[in-house]
Amino acid sequence: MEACIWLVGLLFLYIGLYIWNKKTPKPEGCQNITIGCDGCQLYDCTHNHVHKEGESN
Amino acid sequence: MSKLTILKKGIFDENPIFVLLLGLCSSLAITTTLSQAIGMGVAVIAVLTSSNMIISLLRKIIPEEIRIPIYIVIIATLVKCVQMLMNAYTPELYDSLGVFIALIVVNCIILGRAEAFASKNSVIDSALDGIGMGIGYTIAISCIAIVRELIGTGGITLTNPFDASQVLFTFSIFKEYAITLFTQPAGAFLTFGCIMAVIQTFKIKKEEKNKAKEGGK
Amino acid sequence: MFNLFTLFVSLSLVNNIVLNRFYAICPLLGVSKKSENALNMGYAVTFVIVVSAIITHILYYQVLLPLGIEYLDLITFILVIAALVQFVEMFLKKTSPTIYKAMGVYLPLITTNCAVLGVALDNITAGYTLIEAAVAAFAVSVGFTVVIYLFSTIRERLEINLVPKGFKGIPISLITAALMACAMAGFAGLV
Repeated sequence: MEACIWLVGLLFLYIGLYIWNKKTPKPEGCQNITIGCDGCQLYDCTHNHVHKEGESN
Repeated sequence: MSKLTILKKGIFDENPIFVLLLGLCSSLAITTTLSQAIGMGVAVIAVLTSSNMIISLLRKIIPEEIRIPIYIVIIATLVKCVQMLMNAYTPELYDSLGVFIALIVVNCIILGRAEAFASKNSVIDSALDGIGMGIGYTIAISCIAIVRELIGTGGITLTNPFDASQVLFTFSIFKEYAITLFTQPAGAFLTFGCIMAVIQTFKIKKEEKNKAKEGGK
Repeated sequence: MFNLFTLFVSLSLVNNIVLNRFYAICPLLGVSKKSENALNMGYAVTFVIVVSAIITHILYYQVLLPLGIEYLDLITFILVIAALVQFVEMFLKKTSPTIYKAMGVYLPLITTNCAVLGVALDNITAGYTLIEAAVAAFAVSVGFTVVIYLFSTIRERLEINLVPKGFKGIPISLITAALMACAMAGFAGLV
């Protein structure tokens, strides 16, 4: 029982921080920094092009 | 895409280790013996297939914005289940693989296939894709493990994972001339680098042949 | 005190995280094309590993063990690490654009890095206290930064040298890593 509460609490914390981070705009001058890794298959990294496609949908 | 193409794609065209270069952390560390490599490969096939199927089943329900966190939770749960099953039924394999079973969670292959394929295709296609990628991964690390074990210890020994005292087959060729460097980390990088160089040479030769054909036309 | 020093030396040099234990290979091959990038990546990784090691240690021993739910350690750790990275990135975006420009861009890359989760799990398996866990995490990240910086400097030189066509790019970098691993193996038996 405590396991479920703990997991759900952590999950909501993570999703909350994730959405809050997505909504915060990048500071000026940092709009298009790439770290030289396009074509990378790490879909978890928010710099990946997959996330930009998702927003334009 | 036909079902056979999906299955073959993971083995040759988009092999996760040799072409996409994903999941290298576990592939270099557990390739000291062939039994470990095959054990890890089977675990990855299990996690990959089941996570692809579950995410494909839920793809209409998960909101678009928070799909990455949900995928991470699903994959972490599946990996923990696989880890506990391995602890129960194959304890020696579990001890030798150690923390690398848990590191399947952050293995880029699984999240990558979930994002790129399973979230957009049906359940059967996603399952086939998972099996194909898993088989490609297992073949790749088995190649590295065969080279490392053969040159490093002079022979190959396969033990039954469910009962480690039973040896399935073993043969040894040149025990006195074994280069033990290959069982150490430096040998892992060396083997992997040389195999990548061979594959890259083949690719360059194929491209040159294609270019010569087109130039000749 | 001396115990902590030997812990530091053993985890940063003798059992180097990249070249002996194979944890952080993906950033090693991905981000190490230029040395300033590599150094900034090292700083970001140091911060995330140390803070996440401390937080996961506290969570395991104060929350998971008393409640009897140690089997949730994997899910807890990965959620905590991912949440921490999101929080730090948002904090940097709001407060300090200069630091964000320098090292904030590497933060999303570290979420699914084997090193962060691996260090958190290894601290639990080895049964370290909180201070030892923090020192271990710091040693691991110092070892990672040193190796990735040296690797990037060598790779910069390799770009302009004559390399056989089949070896250009990733294969020659892997052979370089093999030679560095041989050099690191010389530290074995130091502590």
